[in-house]
Amino acid sequence: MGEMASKVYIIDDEKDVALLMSKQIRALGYDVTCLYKGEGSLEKIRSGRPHLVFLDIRLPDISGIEIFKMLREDEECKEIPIVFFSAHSEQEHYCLNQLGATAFVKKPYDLLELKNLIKSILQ
Amino acid sequence: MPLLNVPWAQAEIYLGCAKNGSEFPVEIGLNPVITKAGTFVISSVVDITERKYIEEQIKKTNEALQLANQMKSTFISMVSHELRTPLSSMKSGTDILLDELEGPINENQRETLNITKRNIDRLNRLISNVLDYSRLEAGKMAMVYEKTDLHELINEVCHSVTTDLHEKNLQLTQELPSEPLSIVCDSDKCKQVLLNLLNNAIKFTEAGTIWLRVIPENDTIRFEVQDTGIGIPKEDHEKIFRMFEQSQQREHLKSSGSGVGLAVAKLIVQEQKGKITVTSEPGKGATFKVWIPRNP
Repeated sequence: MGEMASKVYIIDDEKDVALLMSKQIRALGYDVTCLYKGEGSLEKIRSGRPHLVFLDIRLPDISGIEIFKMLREDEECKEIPIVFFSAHSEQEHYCLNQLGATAFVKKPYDLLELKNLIKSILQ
Repeated sequence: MPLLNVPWAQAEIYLGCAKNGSEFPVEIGLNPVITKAGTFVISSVVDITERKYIEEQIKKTNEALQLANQMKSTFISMVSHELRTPLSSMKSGTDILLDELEGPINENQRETLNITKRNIDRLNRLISNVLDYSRLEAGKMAMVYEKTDLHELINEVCHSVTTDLHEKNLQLTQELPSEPLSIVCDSDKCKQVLLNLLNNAIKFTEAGTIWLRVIPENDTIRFEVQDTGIGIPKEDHEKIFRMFEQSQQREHLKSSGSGVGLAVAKLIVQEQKGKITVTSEPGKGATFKVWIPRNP
């Protein structure tokens, strides 16, 4: 992929989870950035223009769902694929069918499924 | 009094006043009796202090139970999140090492990491089952019905148990019609039922084969999981579907489970208006049958 590696953002206040996930995604050849809070993430997404965002639902300041809604209303960011990423599996149906998220990844996730998902979105 | 105009007894509650000036609830009843000689009224005055006290206690107990139930749900949801998040890191860390992202590992290290990973998966399954049980019990599990390809569903389920089968050197034989077959169901929950049944079969089978069958019937699909394991005595056939309970015979096993998987499977099947049964004898394996309507 060289210099043109797709950019993946992980927004999760659980630093361990984000760090380990970033190692796995980086190994696939992508350029990964971790953000550990909701505040300021919208601006960072606007300026960084990632090709894919993994978004935790429960963040300490702004909920992932609020960030999702703001991104979808933002002219420049509304097309960015957003994958919700949460231990609250009961939110899956709401996130996919009501909000229209690109996908929902349950923690803990299956690595093979994660790899296939990222490839299918970024191919 | 208007009570006299109706042909049945009526009672109203007033406050009575005792000699010492204290007040207490009384029920005053007026009961019309119509005879040839005319209409009479039977009246009664009853001190209902004790009844009122008991009613109040029941109300308080109900409120406390509702609160406790609500707290239980919140607690389970919170615990589930707090358990799954560190588990997620443990799983990713293990995967990173197994994938050799941070350098090559030797066979002994691989074996150790595989054992760790298998147990992380096991704990994750337990958490999911306990959480689902609590939701199902509280009537808070929303089923998401969608058209589901059964070949795909069975393949995913079988894929999930590959490592466990391999570990115990067990065979899994799929038997399902070759033509396309679909059903309208909550596919995640159906997968969970079959996974719970397969994991149960794997846990209690030391050698031999496990069969997973899909048999279309009129308005339902019958799934069967048959094993060649230790079996279950008849007196325990109901007990094994109750939460945290399992067959007496199985409790002696070292690898005895948590008694959660079958209870959850039963609740999910019932929620989808289906049925689950077991036929088994000690030493002769067990067959679990699940019927799910083709259309809910």
